Amino acid sequence: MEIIFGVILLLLILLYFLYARIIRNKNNVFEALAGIDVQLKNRSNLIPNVLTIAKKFMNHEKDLIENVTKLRTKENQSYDKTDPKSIKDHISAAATLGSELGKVMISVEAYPELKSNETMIQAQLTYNEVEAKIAAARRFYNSAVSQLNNSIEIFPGTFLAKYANAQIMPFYEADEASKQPISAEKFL
Amino acid sequence: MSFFINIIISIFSIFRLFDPNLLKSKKLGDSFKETEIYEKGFSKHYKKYLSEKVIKFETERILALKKARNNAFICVPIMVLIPFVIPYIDWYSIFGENSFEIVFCILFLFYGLLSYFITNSMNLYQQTIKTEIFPNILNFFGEFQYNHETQKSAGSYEYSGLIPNYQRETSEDHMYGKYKGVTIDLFETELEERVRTKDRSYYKTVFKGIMITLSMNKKFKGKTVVRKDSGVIGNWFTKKFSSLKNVKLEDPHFEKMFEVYSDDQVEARYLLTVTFMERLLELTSSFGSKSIECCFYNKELFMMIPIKKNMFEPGSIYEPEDFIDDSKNLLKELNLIFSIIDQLKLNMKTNL
Repeated sequence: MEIIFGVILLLLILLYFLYARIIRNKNNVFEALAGIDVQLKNRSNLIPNVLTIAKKFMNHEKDLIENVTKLRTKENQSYDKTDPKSIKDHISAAATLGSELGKVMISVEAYPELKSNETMIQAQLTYNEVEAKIAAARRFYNSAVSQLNNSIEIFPGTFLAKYANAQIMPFYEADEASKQPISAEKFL
Repeated sequence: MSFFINIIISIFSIFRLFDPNLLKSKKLGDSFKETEIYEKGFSKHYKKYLSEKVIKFETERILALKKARNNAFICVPIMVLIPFVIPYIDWYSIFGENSFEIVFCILFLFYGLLSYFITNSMNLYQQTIKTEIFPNILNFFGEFQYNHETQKSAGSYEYSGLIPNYQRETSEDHMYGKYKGVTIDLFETELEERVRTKDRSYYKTVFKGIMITLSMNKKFKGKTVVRKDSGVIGNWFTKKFSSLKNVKLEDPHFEKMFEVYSDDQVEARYLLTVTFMERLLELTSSFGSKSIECCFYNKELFMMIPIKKNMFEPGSIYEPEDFIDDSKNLLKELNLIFSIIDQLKLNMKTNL
């Protein structure tokens, strides 16, 4: 009888630790997501400055500039941080904005006057810095998501996840455009 | 331990003093031949700042050797005679039960004292090379300062959490300067921990190498520490007793060799990009060391590089003095230090 009681107690303790680990992993994902949002906000704040200067010189890139403005508005919309679908949409919007903004920055090369503009040079440096920080935040988020997903996909995590109110979270993947090989000819 | 090794080395070097050709002038190298890329331009520098000092220092070297040899002629016969005299003295009646240990200690100290007396002039000469010649070699890199003695202490880097527990510290060779816009502040140090056993206590070296502080082009919000991997149990203890959180990185080779801790997970990954991790691994292999450790804090990168060899030392006093070997050695060692900045690309303005 005592042995059975001991085994049950041991199982309960083990389940508690697994449950606590899922909660910890879930909170890590939220922390990482908040980290991404901070960096995305920094990028979002930078966009109006870049576009204001760009508009003066880049007459042939009106569509691109308008697209960036639209995507910025979409990215700034609030989302449900507990809903994986909502997170996925938010991440996807951020990735697309990143890709379009990247195109603007590359197009700058075609406008020598804009390229040598002091404010633009500063904006490009800040942009590089912000992108590097977004990349770092993305690595942290993906690492946290990987840990959470592993802990809830492996039994008895599947069973405990319901009680911990944890769900499989989406990874922050680079958008399709940035996965394409870059052709050097476009920039020559 | 290094104290005993030094005594043994001094005793052996004493025997070289009896070489009949020791005090004869030998042919000096007339110019510095640039054989490595990092030596480019040094032959001009050598001509301007060092060649004129060669004759003066060669005379001083011969004088130092002469003095050491004269002292050796007095002391060595005493050193040889002592083992023959010792058995004829009744040490037991003088020191009692522990006479063997006491006589052994006295003899060791006595031999040490005699060796010091013989080699003192040689040591003083070599120190002069460090204080007068090394700064002239380092001038080659611009505003570089060198001090043989240093006030720097490992204690001032306790914030990094990398300094091991130690009771005795021996620091020397402090260098300060700029390379490609990055400020370098380094010194050589040996940290020893007192170990007590049932019968005795002794000092064990816990770190021997160089401590370097490099200025970074940006200020960090948090603290990120890269430690050597100390196995499952060691890492578990570090995690438990550290205020910093473990950072899991993607590079499996890097993860195998290092453990990263930080209070800012995003900043840690911003600093330790995939390329930076690769560079750190390359640096580790170029220093032939498995345990380079570092800490990013405030506006600095602090690094601890264990090196067995005593760095920044002048060449042998038994060789003619033309500063060519000294220069070549120092340039080689500094090139290794500069490779940290080059390999880690610390001079770059963005993205490290």
